[in-house]
Amino acid sequence: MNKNDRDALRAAVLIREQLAKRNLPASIVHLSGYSWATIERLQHQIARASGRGWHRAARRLSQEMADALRRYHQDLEMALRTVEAHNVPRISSTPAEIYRDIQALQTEFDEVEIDIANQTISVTTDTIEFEGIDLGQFEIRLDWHRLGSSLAYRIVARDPNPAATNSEVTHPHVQDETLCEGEGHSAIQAALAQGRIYDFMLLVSQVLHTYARGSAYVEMHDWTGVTCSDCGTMMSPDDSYSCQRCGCELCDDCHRLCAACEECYCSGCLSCCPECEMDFCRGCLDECPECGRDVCGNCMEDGLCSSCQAKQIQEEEENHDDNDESTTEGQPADRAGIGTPCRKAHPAENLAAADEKEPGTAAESDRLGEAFVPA
Amino acid sequence: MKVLCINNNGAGFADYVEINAGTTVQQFFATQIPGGRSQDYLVRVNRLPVAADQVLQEGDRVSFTATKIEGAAA
Repeated sequence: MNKNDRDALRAAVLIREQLAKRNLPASIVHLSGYSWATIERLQHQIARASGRGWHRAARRLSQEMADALRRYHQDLEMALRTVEAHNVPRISSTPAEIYRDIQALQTEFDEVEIDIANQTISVTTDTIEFEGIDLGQFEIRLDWHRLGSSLAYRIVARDPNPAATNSEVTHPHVQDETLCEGEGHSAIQAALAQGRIYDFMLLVSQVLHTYARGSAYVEMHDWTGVTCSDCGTMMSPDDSYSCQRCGCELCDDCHRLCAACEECYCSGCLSCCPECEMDFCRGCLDECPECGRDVCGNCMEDGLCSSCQAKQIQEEEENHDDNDESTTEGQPADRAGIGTPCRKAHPAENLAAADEKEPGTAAESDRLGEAFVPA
Repeated sequence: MKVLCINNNGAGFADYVEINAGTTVQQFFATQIPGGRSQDYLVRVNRLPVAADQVLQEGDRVSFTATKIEGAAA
């Protein structure tokens, strides 16, 4: 007998001892009396409401009845599962059978490891791949000193390739090294309860080799996630935004909205309006024919951007002033001061002119806010 | 004669069942998993893969484990 055989024999004896001293939990079936009482109460209420012609109330009560029946159905299913699990004939394995189980694992799995000190026995699956994504090998590690508890075994990824969105999910049905057994739950628990180590390992391995689409922690089509094209963050496709122009994926922090159309865009597809400095998509910006800059609709008036328009007004005013100056040239000196803008005349000149007209009176400007007060 | 039948479907039935002498693995499978396809199961006799026409012996341990067992998410 080599070391492996000796370890297998010791493990078999220890597992048998653990099974023997383990107290099987009593089969507790919990069916809430309240649920059934609710259904009966609703039944009476619906009958009474219908009888009195309160159709609206009857309809509302029927909806409540559907909810109550659904809850009761769930309770019944859970109770049935518990009863079935406990009705399984108890064939408790002998140390010899457990030993044969452990020996047989060597033919079923590439690697079998017995750790007497830590009271564990583990097997390693082959590489598991779903929908072209390699998840690597998994170790099914049974802690036999925990037999009877919900944490009797763990699923350890050998070369983890976890889901992009959750590093604790190493397999569609494994989170935090715990397998959600699904359809295999009762059979796995029965195998553990009876000390059928070989069947237990085989069952868990088959669950690991099966991908139940639609009932996974992370679905395989979401496994690799998507990368935000702006910051590079990995995220679930459900949390991503798509740029309306280039179609790239964006995270919640990087997606931006056009200030006009409020559609989603990436930073590369938005431009800043030079006037209001807000972000706009290209469709919401117009080119100013004067300066050639792209500005938003709010900052465009009469076909020009705000700056060009202000410049144009200033130029027009200046032109207007020049015209006025040219029209006043050649007129009598006493009339020239009335139509001439104050900015053109030095205050001292205005004062002098006023003094000349009416000594002792204040000079009056022809423009509001430009009155001159004599010293 | 009696064999130990372990059906890892559902609740995980395991019990001794009476069979006729000369019953093959395929015949036994058909009686235990009616309508089931043998290629959808890992069939083991005394923990080893076997041929479908192997004749069962007294005291054999026969187990059927589905190749596809769907897990879930909590």
